[in-house]
Amino acid sequence: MTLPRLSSDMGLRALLALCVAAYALLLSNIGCSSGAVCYRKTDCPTGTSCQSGQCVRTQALGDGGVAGSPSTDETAGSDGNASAGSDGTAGSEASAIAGSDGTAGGTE
Amino acid sequence: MQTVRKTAPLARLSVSVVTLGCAILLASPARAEGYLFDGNFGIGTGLEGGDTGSGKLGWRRARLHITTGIDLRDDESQADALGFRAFAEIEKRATLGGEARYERWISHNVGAYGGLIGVVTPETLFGGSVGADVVIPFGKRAGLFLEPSFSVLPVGSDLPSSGPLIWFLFSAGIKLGL
Repeated sequence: MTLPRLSSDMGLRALLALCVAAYALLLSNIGCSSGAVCYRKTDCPTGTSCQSGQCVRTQALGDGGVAGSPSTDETAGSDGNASAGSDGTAGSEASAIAGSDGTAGGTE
Repeated sequence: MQTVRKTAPLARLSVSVVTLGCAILLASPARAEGYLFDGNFGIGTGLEGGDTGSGKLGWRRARLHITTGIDLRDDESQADALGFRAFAEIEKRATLGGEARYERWISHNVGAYGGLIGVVTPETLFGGSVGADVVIPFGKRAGLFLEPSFSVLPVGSDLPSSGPLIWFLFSAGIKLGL
């Protein structure tokens, strides 16, 4: 029984296919950091910024700067009570949000 | 009879002149030095390394890249080529970038390159890139290209810290002789 001879061209293609498969395996198994860590600003959604590997709301950072209480909580900007309490410059907006939240809070 | 002998050389001369004239006027102009165009379209991903601000390099899978571009090869020196690429990263916030490279082809199907690479929108990133190309031909004008590359991007507004962004990418796609 004789084995079929492989041409050098076929050998090269087989080698490339093996390299591709190995690379795919490497990508799927390598211990990369999770997608939650940001290395680029464009890793974060619009309106947020990458700070120390975490996406931080740009608005929340601004509020924190005014109130002196840095916040990295993504819900901080939408929380009427938190905004009203820490950001004295956004009185009209905060009171509107706080009003709706206050109603909800009163019933809880 | 003598008249025929006298006119025969004149006729031959006339035919020769007319033939020569036609040959000159009908011949297409000779091509001077020009470029051969190759177009390509591919997709790629790989590893992306970066600094989160802690000074430690972290790695993860790079975003999916879609790449298209052309290679210009001098028809008198086909080992040298200039390549231009446009690419888009289509995961997370999409970005758009480009690359200009000098390519040196060792054979018709194997080459290496070095060049400048950058992302231009929505944030910017700029750096250098080196890589290799292997083309598996399908017929005379088409082929499958495989392209491992290494890029370092130390400059740009997309970087949250001073550390560079590093790409180990592997792209594959179709290459067509245009």
